[in-house]
Amino acid sequence: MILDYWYLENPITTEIIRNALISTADEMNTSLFRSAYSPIIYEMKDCSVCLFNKNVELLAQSAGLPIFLGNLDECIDTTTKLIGGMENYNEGDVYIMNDSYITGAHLNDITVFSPIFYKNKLVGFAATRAHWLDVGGKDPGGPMDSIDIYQEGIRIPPIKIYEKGFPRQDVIALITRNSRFKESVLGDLNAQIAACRTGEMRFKEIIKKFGLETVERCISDIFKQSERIDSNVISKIPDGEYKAEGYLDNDGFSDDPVLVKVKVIITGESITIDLTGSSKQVQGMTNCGMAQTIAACRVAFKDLISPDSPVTEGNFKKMEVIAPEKTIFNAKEPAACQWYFGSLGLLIDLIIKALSPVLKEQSVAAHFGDSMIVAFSGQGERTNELYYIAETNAGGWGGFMGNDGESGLINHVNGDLKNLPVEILESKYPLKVEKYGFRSDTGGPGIQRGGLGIKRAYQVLNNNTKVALWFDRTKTPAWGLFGGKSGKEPEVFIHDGDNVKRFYKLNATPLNKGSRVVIKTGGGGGFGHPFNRDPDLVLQDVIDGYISKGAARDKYGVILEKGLFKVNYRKTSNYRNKCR
Amino acid sequence: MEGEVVLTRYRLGVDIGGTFTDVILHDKVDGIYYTEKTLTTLGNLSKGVLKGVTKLVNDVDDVDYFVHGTTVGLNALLERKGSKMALILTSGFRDIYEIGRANRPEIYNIKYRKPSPLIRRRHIYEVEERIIVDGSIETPVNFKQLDFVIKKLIENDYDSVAISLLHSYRNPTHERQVGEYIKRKIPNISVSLSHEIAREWREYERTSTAVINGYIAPIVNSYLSELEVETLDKGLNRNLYIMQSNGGVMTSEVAKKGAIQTLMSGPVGGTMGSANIGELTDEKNLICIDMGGTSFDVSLVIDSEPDVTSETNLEGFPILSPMVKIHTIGTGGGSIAWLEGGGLRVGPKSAGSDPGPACYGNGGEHATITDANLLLGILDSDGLLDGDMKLNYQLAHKSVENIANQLKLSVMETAEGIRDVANAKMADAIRTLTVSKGIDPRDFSLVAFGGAGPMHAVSIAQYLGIKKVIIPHAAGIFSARGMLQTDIKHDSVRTFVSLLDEIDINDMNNLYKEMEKEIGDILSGQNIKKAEMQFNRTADLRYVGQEYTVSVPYPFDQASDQNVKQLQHMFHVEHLKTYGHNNPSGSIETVNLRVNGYGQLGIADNQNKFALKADEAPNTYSIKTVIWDGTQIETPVYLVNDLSYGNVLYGPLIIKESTSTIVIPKGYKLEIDRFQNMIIMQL
Repeated sequence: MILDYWYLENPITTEIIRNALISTADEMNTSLFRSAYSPIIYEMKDCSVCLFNKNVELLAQSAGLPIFLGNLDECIDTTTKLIGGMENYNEGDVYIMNDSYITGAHLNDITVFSPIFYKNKLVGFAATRAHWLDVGGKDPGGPMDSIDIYQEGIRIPPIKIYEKGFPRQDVIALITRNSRFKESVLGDLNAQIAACRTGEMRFKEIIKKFGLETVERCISDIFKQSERIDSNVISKIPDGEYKAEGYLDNDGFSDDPVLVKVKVIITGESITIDLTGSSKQVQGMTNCGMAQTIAACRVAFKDLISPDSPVTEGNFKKMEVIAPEKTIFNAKEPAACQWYFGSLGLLIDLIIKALSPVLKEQSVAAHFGDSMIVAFSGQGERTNELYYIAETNAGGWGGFMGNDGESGLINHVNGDLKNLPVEILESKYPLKVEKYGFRSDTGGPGIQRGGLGIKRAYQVLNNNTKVALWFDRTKTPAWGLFGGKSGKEPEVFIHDGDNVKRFYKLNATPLNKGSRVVIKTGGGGGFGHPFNRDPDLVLQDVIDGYISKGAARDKYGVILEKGLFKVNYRKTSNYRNKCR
Repeated sequence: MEGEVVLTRYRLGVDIGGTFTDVILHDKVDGIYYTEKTLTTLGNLSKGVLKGVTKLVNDVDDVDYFVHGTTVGLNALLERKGSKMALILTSGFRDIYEIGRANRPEIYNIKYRKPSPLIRRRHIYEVEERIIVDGSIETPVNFKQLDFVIKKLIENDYDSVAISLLHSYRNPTHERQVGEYIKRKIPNISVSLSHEIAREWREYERTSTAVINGYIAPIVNSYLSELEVETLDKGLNRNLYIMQSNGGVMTSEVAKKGAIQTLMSGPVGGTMGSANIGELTDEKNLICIDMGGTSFDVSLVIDSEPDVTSETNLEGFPILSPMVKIHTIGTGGGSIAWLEGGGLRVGPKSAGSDPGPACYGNGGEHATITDANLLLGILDSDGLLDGDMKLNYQLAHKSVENIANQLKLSVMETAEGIRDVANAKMADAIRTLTVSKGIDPRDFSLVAFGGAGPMHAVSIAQYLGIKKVIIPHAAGIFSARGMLQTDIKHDSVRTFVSLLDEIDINDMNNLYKEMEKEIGDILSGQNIKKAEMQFNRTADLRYVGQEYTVSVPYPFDQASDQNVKQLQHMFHVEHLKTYGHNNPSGSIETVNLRVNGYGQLGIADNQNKFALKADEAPNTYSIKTVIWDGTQIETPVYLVNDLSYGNVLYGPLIIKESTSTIVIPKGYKLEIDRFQNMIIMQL
């Protein structure tokens, strides 16, 4: 098939420039990783960088966390309005901000950007966002139980920290003095500025090599390409409205469930994601600013449509996100936003669920869904220093056409985050791990089974230990698709002697020496009716202990020969016909 | 070619690849290298080796040193054809191998699956025991329960078993006890103890390393045993040396105990050869590119030392074993050109070797970089391998035409475009790599080898602002040559976590001494005398709160407060160099202590003593039409064998070699140095 495309520029030059822009973003991020002070940035990759042209259109992005998908343009636009227009940017200026209602994220996420000038002309912007260790606020690192934004730290509107190449030391001091870790945040600030400089330098090299006009023409062609890739996929989705909804267990403050309601409207080549009807903004900290809500919708879209191709302004052109003000997805002052990502994992899964009837091949059953945080704090035995360790726990992912969901994998919004090895945990903190392994029978049954949750048991080794928990998704555990069943929900047990109690969320609570905290994460949803799963695969799962013999019969309708690892096909077939 | 030098002694290097076995013979008297390429004899690899060797020398008795790079281990892993094996873990932790680090490197892939484990869960057993973090035994090994596991091991007839118990890096007693007990009950089973393979903390990484060792050990061992017998038959009864992933060599006896160190045995030779060429040409910093039909690998030589990493990742599995760092950043000559949203893309999809590029005529329909090179006149229809493999111009034309029509460009414009995009993209990837290392590519020279490397090297260098490109003599069998330049090397490591301010100097000294004794014994076993041994101590340090460490040399025999102060100072300096900043008031902790032990072998004399500058210009082999920057130019073609020391030529020109084609555009000067290397300089 020969398609009739119109090009402004030679497609070869366009492709060379496109690759150069992508690697410019990669180099910005590499530069940020390399020079950041805090492991949150260079190890947990809680950061993102973007390169824009002079119209604040995205040229290339390199995201550390998946939910930072193209959300920095809003920050630049707001600043431009505030300073009275593009003409008021100067070469060498650097701006900073962290206001949740502009950036969409929590106050720890600091946005830094700088305009790029070439031969005295504004040609673009380099922007970065990174999580700072501490920005003031009532608790070190950020509170776990805030009820308004003023408890969460210093709130910075768009403000200049470099003017025409010279640092405004007074402003920088004002910001860093509000942190408990001044040296670290100053280091991270410098790393973000260095990343902007890297972007600036490389973008100017590209312009110098190819000429500004050529680069601009190529950029138009690149946007067109991205737009075509997306509209090509959207136009194949039948027009209509697709809906899904689910609940967060609560906002951490009250015990009321928090509703997330999604309506996806497809019209021709456009897609609208309407979140109207989702919960009003809540007293607890699970509120999110609009910019991050948009970013999460883009993640779902990208997951479904083009997981591999780099993002530009051309993508998402046909996407509109609607979230009424003063709801959890478009929070306004004074809503607490520290746990802004709490609802986003659920939102992403729900968008996929809504579209699954028309995107069966691309869709995936829900995953266990949340970060499943267990945090210990107290006094170390050796140094007597205070310690704090928050563990993000893995769980099961959803099945999809072609394969079972993965078992024991960190949740979606945390991207490439790794678990902490038992041997490191035990040497740094007064804790002993007694068990770490899969939780059998937790994956939602299906033709493709959901992945398994995990179980991790800790023993507390001294008296000064406190535990905090944030476990969610018991009210809406990972659902199945196309007849697949739900995965099992999470739970946590705390054993103190013979006394055993179940918890989901807990503020820092003291434990006695010898107490045991046993956390169990949920499994992923199944895909397709489990009675249609290949009996031999069910048998393999029994042999490997992922499911029990009982579940093989009850959930999958597979009867094994007594005392043997062998399928009785005749009985299986009868049972499946009878009990379906 | 061996006629006149009967009395001399040779050094022999052999590299077995998937298709070819490369043999290189170094004549120590006149300093000349002889090379031979034979087909790899699959099924009986040692036969191919000996066939190649006997083509070069009549009497293997003249060979006093035989080093060999093998890919049997690597292939077993890549093809998932390893041994039938079991894994034994601490009770309560059966799933640590399958859970791994629970991370998802492809952040927009909701269908992500971890690499499928080398051992299924049903083959993973638990043993009741527990050592706690300080190394003390909380629960002794339950041998009654272990008997039950052993029954299963016998029933299932495993060839190999890996044992990885919690905190064995701190106290290996339980692993030893379990290993010895199993060995007594099942004498023929291959046993891999995690602390012997990688004595470092982090249970998943250590287990993964032990599993890979166990997975390939029986295969590597039987291959080496067979090779030993056959070489003994031929009179090659001196020690057989094996190239290691860490850039050193070891005797085959040692290789059998640590199969994992043979993993990158082949590819590493190229980096070592580059380091050697750097030494000869006074280039301390090199970017080494190895491009073949299906791969594009980059490694670095910094300050004359190959860039070695203590942790690497293969097929998604972590390996805690020192290896020369080889970055795979592309897919080589088989990278496919395709269209997306109306835009041209090159790679990362690859036609691989089957069906391969369209011009191979094996049914491949997609245009690849190789097809573009053929259309442009850089490659010939006669192909590369001395005419063994023809390339079909018509098929290449058809495949590129398909893309050209959609782009509304001419076929030749498109072919050149595919090549340009590929070169620019490879340069971009190399630049990002250097940024992450904090180095500037413009301070480096480029060394290119592998079949397709020299075809693209100069263009890639141009994009990177690199002025000098070196194409080594016999670039096609460069890995084998690199192996001849290496010493025996053996590394050891101990995890030793302590604040630097509170360090127990005696403990530290004892661990270093323990490792040096361990390595010393292994080196002695390889006939290295005390005087020829060298030990380098290093420490992996970090600021408290960091996860990753910086390796800092500890050049002292003793630990003293003074020396520890010095170590502290050097850490701040290294941290600044590596990460662009440091924190002189931050507290530092040690994580691992390491010793690299070297046994000097008296490396080949590199002087080509008879080299004389040629006073005549070389003969032109042919003139052919090649497209350079959109213009057809009648371009001279030379054969590499016609070039001699002192020849100077100016681009554009093409040089043909049996395994490779060297492309030199306009604006570059070529000089042949006394070692027959091609030095290409920007004018």
